[in-house]
Amino acid sequence: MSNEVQTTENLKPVYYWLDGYWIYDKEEADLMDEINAFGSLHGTALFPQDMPPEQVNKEIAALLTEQGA
Amino acid sequence: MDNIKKTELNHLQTDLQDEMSHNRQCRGLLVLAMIVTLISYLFFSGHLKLGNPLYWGEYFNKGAVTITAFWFMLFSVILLGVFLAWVKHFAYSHFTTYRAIAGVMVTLIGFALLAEMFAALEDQKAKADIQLEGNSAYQATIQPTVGAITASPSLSGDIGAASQRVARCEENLKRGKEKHCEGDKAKLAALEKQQSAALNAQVAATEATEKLRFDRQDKMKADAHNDFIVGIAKFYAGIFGTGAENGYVAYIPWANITLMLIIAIAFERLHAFLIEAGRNIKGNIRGIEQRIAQLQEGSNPLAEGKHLPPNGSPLFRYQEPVKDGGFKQTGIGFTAPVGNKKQGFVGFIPPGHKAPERETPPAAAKTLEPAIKDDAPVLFEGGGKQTPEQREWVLKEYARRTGQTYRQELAGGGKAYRDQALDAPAPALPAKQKAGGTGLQNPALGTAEQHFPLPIEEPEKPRVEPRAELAEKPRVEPRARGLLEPDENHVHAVANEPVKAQAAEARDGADSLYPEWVVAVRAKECRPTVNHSRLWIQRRIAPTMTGSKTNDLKRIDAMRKGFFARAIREGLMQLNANYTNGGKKYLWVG
Repeated sequence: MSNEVQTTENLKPVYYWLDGYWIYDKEEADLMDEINAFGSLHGTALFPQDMPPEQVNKEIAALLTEQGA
Repeated sequence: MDNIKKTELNHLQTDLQDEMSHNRQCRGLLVLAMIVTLISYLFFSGHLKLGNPLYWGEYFNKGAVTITAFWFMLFSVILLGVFLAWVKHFAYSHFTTYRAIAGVMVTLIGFALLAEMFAALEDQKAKADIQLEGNSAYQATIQPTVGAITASPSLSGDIGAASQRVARCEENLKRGKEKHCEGDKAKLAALEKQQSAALNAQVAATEATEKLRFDRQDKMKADAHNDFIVGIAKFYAGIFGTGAENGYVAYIPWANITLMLIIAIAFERLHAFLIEAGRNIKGNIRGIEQRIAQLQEGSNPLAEGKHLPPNGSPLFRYQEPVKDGGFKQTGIGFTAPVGNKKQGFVGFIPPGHKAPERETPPAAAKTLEPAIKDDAPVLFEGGGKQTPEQREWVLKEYARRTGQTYRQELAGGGKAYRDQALDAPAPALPAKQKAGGTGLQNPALGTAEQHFPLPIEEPEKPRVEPRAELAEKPRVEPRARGLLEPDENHVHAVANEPVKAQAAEARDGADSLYPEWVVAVRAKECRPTVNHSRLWIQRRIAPTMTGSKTNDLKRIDAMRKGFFARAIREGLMQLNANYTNGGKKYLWVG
């Protein structure tokens, strides 16, 4: 159980949209959805906390490709 | 036209009337500011070329040539004043629309301050002179108070008599009638010395008197200025002066300069504000008129809800239905059942769904045969959204069964993207699709075929009943910009084509707010500043924001920050490295 918690704690949620933009702030993501800022509602993905933004970009792009968006 | 549109139109019409009223006031003030600027520059050029206008009458006393030259100079004075005022007005208008050039701004404002101070200081001097003309105390100081320096008449007579005696004595001395004349000579020298001392005393007294008179005049001239200027001068004298009683008189010019500088800066700032306010008002009027036109034509995407997803169901929390119901696990989480499916659970793939051929099986998959048996329990039940903890548990549980992590899979040559951490356990892809398999796979659970061999013999008897209470209900509350009515049927939202269409639309950014803001900034309809962008967002969302939350300044600013953050990341905007207070914090480079 402790290992599971540790694994979860090492992950960081990333909120992203269909156009590939992403942020870390949940409140901001909700707010952007409220005003339809980015053309879709945000999704959530978990990545390691220390993952560099460039890698997050790639991961998000790959995720969207996989989802056929 | 429904009531909501009518109400929105009414609000927009009211806003438009307010803005038009502001616009009229702003234009009137701008005309006034232009006139004041023109007068200020006319005074400046007049002082510069012809001196104080109060004394221009003197030019007409010097003959025809001087009068002709005066008219020519006056013409150039007017031209210079009009040119300077016009350029300043034009430059301010230009810089409130386009990016200011620092050098030009400094020159413009610096010159404006100089000109205004130059003219104002001359005016202060002339005003003081005029006031002193009618000041009897000052006029008294102008009158001579000391008479001419004269020798004493009696003393002069005594000196004359003594000189006569000395001359007579010397004549008698030649004749031998006198032994010497020393006594008479001494008396004459004493008298002359006395006269010289008396004259020197008179000169000294006159000098002292004149100095006092001039000091008095200076003090009265200084005091003829406004008490505020005198106060500033005394303040300067207290800091920089020598402590003399009337030392502040020497600081009157500096006090004048200080006050005129303050006034000139305030005037310049107010003038610039008027032009900036005019730009804002024009932009607002244009935006409101555009929205009114959109509403009246019925093509307003906001009112129609065209910008929204096909329904209230979030894109990333749906399950794609297959023909006869079922589930498709998307990249993120687990979501609700759709359709009228009676059986199944997460990961369920109905019979008859043909899987596409996998081009190249991942290398890792060749060595990592799934360890989960067909009769193994499902890892996650129910159609509700999976929490991160649940999802993590699912991944770990699968890894426990398969002994594989995402990193290991990638290291083994796997190319499949997984929505999970690299070191989190990852399921293996099937090395080979089973005949009749769906090809659909669950990123968390692996292939459905591995869990539930196809074909399912008795679909009417699901092993796990879907939990209806976990099904995601259609969103009924309207979002910020539309979805005026709850969408009863949210099934259509999850079809594959609408998703792709929406994704394309999102990329195009046709109806979403951020791309519209970018377009507005590029079209100069919105300036990329904090205040302008905040106002733009507020104007755009205010008519359709029907949620319970109030769009206070903090929320609006949070939206603005979100836009700026994205613009900065996309290279459209950057922080101004040379930002100073009052300058531009952000620079638009897109």
